[in-house]
Amino acid sequence: MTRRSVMAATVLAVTVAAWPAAAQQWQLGGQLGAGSGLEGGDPGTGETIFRRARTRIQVGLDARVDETPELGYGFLGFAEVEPHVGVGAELRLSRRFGTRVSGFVGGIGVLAPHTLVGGSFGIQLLIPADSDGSSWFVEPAFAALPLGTDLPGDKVLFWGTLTMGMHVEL
Amino acid sequence: MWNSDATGAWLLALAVASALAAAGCTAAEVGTCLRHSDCGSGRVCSDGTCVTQSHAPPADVDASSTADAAAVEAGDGGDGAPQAEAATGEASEIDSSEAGAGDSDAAADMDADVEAAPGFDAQDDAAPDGS
Repeated sequence: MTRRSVMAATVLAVTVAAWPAAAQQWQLGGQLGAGSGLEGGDPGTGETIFRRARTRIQVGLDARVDETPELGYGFLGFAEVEPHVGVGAELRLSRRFGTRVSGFVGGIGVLAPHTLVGGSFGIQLLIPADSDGSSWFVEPAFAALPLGTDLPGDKVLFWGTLTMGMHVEL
Repeated sequence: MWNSDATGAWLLALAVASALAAAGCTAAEVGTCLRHSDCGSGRVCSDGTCVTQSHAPPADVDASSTADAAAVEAGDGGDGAPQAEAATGEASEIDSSEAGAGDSDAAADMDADVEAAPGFDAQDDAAPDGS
């Protein structure tokens, strides 16, 4: 499991590190959203259980190169706000399918008060809100977190979340 | 374009939700924890329940070499002595003739050790905070 995590992180890092040439332009976007969903795992009883995930607020920045606008990179920070608090971050590699839908894969982790590390994937639907490039977004996502000090044992924690908010072109 | 994209996305979300349901997963009972941070300060999640965090067990002290433990065995320590006998096998091996009689302070110390000993650590507490 650790080897796979390292491989995934390496692929993501190498991909993100591919800086554009001088003639290329970044297309930046930002987003603010809130969401929740389901959190599941085996607490050590041998049975997988699910419950409501913590409500979270996330703020993100995404970047695309104009020559390949279908590919994007994203960095998000999030805060779990209830019923317990925590902060975390996510790195994403995304690809647009059409004009309003994109899919992403990435690495996600909770940084405090305990740590969780894993991978995530999901899709983002953009619903135009204004002509200036702002859109509402709906984002179903899934994450598996096998590492970290927040886990009671050698188990994997799963998140299935739905986040909604606003995305703007910067 | 938009309609077909959106429809596909929602179908994917529905498929994920259906897969979870089909996997035979059950809803967590109220009070079940999945993460240590579900529990309050000083408690950890163990087998889905928040328990008082275990303190490090006392150092490997040979009770037979300490007058404190012997005093407990001798019964001079009051209420703490019977607990010590029940909790530690080492204490029961102490010859009471070696005990320093009247050492009530020592007995109190042993009582504190017993509370920190394994077996007294993991006590089921209340449900996870706020969940």
